[in-house]
Amino acid sequence: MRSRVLAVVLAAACPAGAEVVERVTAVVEERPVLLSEVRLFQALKGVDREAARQALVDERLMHREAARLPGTAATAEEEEKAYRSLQSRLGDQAAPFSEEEVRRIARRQVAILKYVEVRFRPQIRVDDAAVASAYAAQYGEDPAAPSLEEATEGLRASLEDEELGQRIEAWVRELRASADVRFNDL
Amino acid sequence: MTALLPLALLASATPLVSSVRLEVPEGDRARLERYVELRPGEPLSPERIRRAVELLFATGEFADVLVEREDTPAGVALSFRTVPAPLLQAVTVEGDPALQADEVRRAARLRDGEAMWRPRLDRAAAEVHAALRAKGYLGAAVTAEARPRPRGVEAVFTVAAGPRARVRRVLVRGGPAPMVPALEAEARPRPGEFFEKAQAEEAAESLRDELRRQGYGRARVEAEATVDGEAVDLVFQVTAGRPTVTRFEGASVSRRARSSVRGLLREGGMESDVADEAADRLEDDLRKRGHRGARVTRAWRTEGSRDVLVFELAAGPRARVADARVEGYPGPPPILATRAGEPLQDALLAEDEKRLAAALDALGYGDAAVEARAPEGGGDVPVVFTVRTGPRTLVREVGVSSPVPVPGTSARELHLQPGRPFRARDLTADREALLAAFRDAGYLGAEVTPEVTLSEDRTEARVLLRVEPGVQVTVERVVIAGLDETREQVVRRELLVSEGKPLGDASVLESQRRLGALGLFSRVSLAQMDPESPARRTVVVTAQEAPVTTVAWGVGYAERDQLRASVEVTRRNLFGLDRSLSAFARASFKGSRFVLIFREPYLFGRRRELFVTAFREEEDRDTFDFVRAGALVQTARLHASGVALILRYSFQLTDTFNVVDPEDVGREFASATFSGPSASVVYDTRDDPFEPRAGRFMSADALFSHEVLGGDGFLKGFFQAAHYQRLRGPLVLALSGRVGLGRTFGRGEGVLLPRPDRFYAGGDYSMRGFAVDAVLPSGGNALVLGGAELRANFGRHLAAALFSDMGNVYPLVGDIDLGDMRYTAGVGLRYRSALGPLRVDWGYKLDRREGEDAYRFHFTLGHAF
Repeated sequence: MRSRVLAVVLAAACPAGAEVVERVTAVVEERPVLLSEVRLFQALKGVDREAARQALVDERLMHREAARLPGTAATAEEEEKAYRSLQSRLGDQAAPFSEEEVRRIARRQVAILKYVEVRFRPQIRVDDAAVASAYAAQYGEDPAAPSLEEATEGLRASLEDEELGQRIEAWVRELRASADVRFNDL
Repeated sequence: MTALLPLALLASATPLVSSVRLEVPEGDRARLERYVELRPGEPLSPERIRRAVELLFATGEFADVLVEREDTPAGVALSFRTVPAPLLQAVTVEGDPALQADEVRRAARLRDGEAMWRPRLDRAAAEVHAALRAKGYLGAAVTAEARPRPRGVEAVFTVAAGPRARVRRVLVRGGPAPMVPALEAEARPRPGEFFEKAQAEEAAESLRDELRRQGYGRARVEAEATVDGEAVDLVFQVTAGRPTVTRFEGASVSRRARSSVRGLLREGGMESDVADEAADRLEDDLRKRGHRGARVTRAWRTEGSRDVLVFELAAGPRARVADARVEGYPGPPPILATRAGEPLQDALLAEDEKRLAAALDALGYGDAAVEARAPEGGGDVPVVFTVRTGPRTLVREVGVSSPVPVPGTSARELHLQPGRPFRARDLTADREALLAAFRDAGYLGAEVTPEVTLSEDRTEARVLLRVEPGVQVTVERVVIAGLDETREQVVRRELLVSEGKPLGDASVLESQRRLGALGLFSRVSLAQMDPESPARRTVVVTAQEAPVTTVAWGVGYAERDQLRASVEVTRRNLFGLDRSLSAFARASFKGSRFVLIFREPYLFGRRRELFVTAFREEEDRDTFDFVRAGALVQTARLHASGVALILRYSFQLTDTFNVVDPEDVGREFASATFSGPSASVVYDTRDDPFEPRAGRFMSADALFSHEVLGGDGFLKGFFQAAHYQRLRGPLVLALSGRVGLGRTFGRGEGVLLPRPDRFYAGGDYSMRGFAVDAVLPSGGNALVLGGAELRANFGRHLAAALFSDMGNVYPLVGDIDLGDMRYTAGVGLRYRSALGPLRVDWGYKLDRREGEDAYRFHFTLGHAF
């Protein structure tokens, strides 16, 4: 409430024509989530500012956990690859963002992916029954459908990704529940 | 509009910064501006804006930092607006005064300067609520809010305590009927008293212990409180179980093991895991006594109305080591724990196998195998350790492979050297030393992989320590957080991490140690703000300030003063600059002393202490009294060699009166002024200054006063040296020598120093066959003393001593006659207390003269030297 009042006061004190270019939008375990990062996430994900902020908070929490595991730091090649991928996603929206801003996100994402691969991927098992069930659900009696054998690899990968996604979601929920996160008014 | 823009702005796609405004309190501006790296005339850098926000936020002083940009004809005007964080300044309690503010602070573990965000306030309120309930305010309600104050917030706790519950009834249920009245009498709180949960829980434990002492070894007691409005019915629910007895059957049990097992069972309530642990202890006890095949089992039996926990001890034959031999060992083997005549213990055999293997590894026999053989059975058993050494491996080559130079000199300090035995432990030590050297140089992710190539016959080893240093991390910025009164420079000058330099582990740890050693902070941490940043990181130093005023007092005893008491009040961190002011007062039946000391830790911007002291003292001695007042300025410097140099300038006035033996009036100063420089050099390598067992202590002092400086003319020097040496077993030999010399100027030859400045001998700290100052009661300008003491320590607290002292005091330096010495000897006892060694000495004069007592007792604190 207090910070909201202050924000209103500060906004009122802003000279006409002044634009807020940077600020602390949230604090995750005493580290700030900045407005410039939120804008970058908006551009990357094509979501509104609040959704981008929430995604950044999740990303911060995941990265904090991932950084504790030795070997998750991005190598130069991994960073470069991730950076290029992000740049291509930004496309013509890349201009306002500095290279270092994008690289920072790239490094964090690489570390999170490596952590996920080490912690969660080995636990995921999709048995034949689940694949058969998914096959039945997807193709039913479709005479043009590929055979079960042909579709197994793709279905298994898809089911594994689904399972991985669920585990990551549960992980993020767990991180959120125990984290110290606070938000400033956007 | 475009025509108004500067050409520079037009020439570049990046706009220029026209102005930077940081909106913070004026007093904080200089400190905080260092975190904003944007300057007018420079290109606008979003990265620098971002960095400035992060650094300002890292100080912990702000909830938000908003950066506003306004495009003007001159360029971009930037404004940094800060929103202060709700830092705790004060705690107040409103509503019912059931808890004081200090109690609330303790209950909620609040500390000044911490941020009072909503979740923290809610948690604090919950903790205060729990504290109130524990005190009997069972219907209490607590809310907390943060109210703004000039430099933070005040945490306001609104307490609706409600009535404090009293105990209406106390009942003991479930216990053995004959014991219930006694237990009820022991229960707390009593009826009519306020209900306090902690007191009830403590009482439950006390009742449980009582039941277990009375033979209910499995007893449990729970305190249950039933609330009825403002009344509490307190029920101690007892689960006593049947009476229990512990019995040992079979082999005999040592007294120590029996006592240990009974204590364990009583504490653990005879649970099955505790009983198993007890059986293990008994078995271990038997095995230590040589019963190699000992087995202890345990079982519960029912005998009438009670349960018996029976430990069956099957000891088996007892074996003793007839002879312990080592076969095949190259050279004399190390001393083993298995010795002839001692009980034979298989655990010790295994230990000795490891000991021999480690010793062989140290000689280069890395593949050596050791096997202990001791025939089964009891009686006198010969023990043979058979050693198969295998080839001895020597280091042929050692190398370090690193793409960057090895930091420091660690490469030359490797344990592994060509020609020396190849040892696994040396390889481990060298790997760790290299790793530490790289990490200390900022290579925080360095890896060192040892590669060992053995020759075919395994007699030679080539060792390569392959280093992958990774990225060298440097310190980008250092942010100081958490300070309230202390100025940032006090913290920065202690830091070994500095901007632009490598971020090494050792510098971080040493910085933390140095900050802790200032005594200004209750907690210090150095953390990386951006640990994911590959090469440049910001270090955040967070310091929590400790209370600035301390009060210390003490009571002591010395033969000269007899009983004395002292008090010292110190105000630290004056002006936030680590300066301090101390007032010290000491009084005894023989005199008093008042001292005021100002300490400046950094003299002329360098790490050197300066003390300014003013004092007044008076003392009643056996042959005279004196009053002295003065002041001195002192600075000290500790060299890396361990030598401390102390320089001072003193001015003091001394009045001597009530002189018992005024014979030599006219040859002395009755009233004296000292004005002049003095210096001391101290070298101390003692392992413990209060209870030295090894090392040396030497000090030399020289004082010079002259009329030109406004004082009386005299020169005085004092030198002392002590040496401590461990001898065999519990014996320590202490040797001491002291020489003091003084002379006057400008009053003709043969004038004595002022009485308080003369040298004296005799008493608890010198010449212990004499009373205090009794060697020459009028004192003299020269002193020669020597002493030897043989100390024997018995256990942790007791020690005895044999000592001998020799020496004399001479009126003038020219009177020194080493043929005219006095000799005393004696014995003493010491008790090591928390205050230091309490000492009783009996000193006997070996050259007793007419009219002198033969001996003297001394009771005092501390060693004579």
